[in-house]
Amino acid sequence: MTDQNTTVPANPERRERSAVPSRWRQLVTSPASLFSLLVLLAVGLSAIFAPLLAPHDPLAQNLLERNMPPFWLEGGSTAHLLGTDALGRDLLSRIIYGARISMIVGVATVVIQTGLGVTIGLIAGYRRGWVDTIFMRIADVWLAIPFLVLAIAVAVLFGPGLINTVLVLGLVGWVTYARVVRAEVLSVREREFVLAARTMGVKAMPTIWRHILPNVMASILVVATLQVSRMIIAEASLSFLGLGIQPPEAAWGSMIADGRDRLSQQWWLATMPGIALLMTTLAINLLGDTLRDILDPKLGKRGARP
Amino acid sequence: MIRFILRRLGQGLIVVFCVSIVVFSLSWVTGDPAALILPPEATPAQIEEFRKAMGFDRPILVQYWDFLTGAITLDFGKSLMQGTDAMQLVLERLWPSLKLALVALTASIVIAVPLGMISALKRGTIFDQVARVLALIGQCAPNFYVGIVLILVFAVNLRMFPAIGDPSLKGIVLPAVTLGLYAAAETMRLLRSGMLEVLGEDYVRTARAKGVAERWVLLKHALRNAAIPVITVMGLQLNTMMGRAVVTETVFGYPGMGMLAVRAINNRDFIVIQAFVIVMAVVVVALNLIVDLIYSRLDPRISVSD
Repeated sequence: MTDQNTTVPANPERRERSAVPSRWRQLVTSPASLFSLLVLLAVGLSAIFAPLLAPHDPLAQNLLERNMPPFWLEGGSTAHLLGTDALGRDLLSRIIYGARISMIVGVATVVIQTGLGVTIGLIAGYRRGWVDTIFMRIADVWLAIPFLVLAIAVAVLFGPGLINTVLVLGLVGWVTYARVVRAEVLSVREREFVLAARTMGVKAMPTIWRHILPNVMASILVVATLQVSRMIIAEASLSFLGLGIQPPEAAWGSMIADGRDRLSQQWWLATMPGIALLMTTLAINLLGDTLRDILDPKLGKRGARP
Repeated sequence: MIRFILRRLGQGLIVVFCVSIVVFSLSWVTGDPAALILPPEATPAQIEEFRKAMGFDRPILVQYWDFLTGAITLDFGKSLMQGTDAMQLVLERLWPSLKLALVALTASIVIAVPLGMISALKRGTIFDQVARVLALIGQCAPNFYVGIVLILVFAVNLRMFPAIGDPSLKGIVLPAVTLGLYAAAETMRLLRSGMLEVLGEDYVRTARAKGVAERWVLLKHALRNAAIPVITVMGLQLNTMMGRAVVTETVFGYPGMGMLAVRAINNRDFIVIQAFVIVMAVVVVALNLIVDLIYSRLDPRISVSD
């Protein structure tokens, strides 16, 4: 995991490995990761260019065209490819705008979590002693409350809305990073190059920043990727419960909640945003798995993949 | 052994105590709990009166002391929406929730263990590929969406199970499948990679060379060791499960603690939410202790005495 950052061309083992395709090439050669990249590209583009891509205004109601089915069903029309909801809003446009909310939430919460969790993990692992004990005890308490329960409890206080949801999930989810990073730092800090730096009188902050952080980056990247999908699901769950993004805003979770009451008549209202949500989380998880294989060959060899 | 259990119980108590501080302070993070509980249109005079009635105007430490002594005697005060004892409301729903989680966990093990073993033994075959794709989907699918799809297929279309869940034999099937899917997927993936690792070990080869029947090699020598990582994450899995149960219970209208909590949230019934989070923490701590005891049974290398 550590030799990624050093370039030692004369290393014979390295040269041997360069004969086989670089591990990074897996990203574009394996069908699974290709699928995930394509899905994420589609979701990313939808999120960025939603106003250009969406055929209709996601909030525009049209009571004359209510409850239309998707175009391939009886009574559907190509004007509304995936049909319309009970207020006549275009489902496809709402799903496209929903990608925007999911992406913003996924990325923004993970940035907050990473910042918080990695800082705590680095300090706890490097300082050890009472600082470590305090942070890890706090982590224990945190883990005694299921993530979603804590998120719900905090969401009640913060109130609904996009920014509040991002803050809630960001503040609640730091523990995973802190624990992973701390465990890695505990072993990295005993390595020769860190000891050498410390012996030469490098101060704590530069040591952490220049010598330790680069060596735990791979784990952080893998955890962060998988967290993006967990956070998208968490936001959707909160929105589904009515605590996250509020109607009329088009978030996948609240769209599924809306469609849930009309399952027996208009099954597509809940199903379509759900497929978008499932595809997105599936793609992110596949990408996370591939990244783990690439960055941590040790795990791959254990047979996690054939 | 008894010392281990006592020490873990002590640690658990400390965790629950800290959770009580978190729960108590949660209502103060955003300022005035009276403003939080009362509807936004309440007049300042009404808020003031309510603060007096609830004792929110006393010093915060006095309030915490009351809260804590109340919590020890399981007295959190009366539910704001129903006027009955909040703790009793939660405890009445504890068993249905636990039952749901236990059925889900059992089902996930019964399904995942054979699948994971066959998948590892028939590595690379169609069976393995399909099982792994299903497991991946199971891990990524948001559970409220799984619940809705199950309702659509098995309740609305096939009419095999009721759409509304209850703790009866028939009513628990769909919620339990919804809740257990994630755990089943994770168990299957872990067991598959665990088996692949273990099957290459010397002791498995030795057992085979000794002429031990293949069935016993797999069950006694391989499975027992491959199951260790599965048990390691089981505590975490139960934790996640209790959180996801909130959403699952809401989807199915299942009369558990989670649904009570969501209803309490919608009614701003903060007393019930406090009682719910505390009970949740106690349940999680207790379940984790049980998992640890099973763990030390299975893996003698883990000593419980230190």
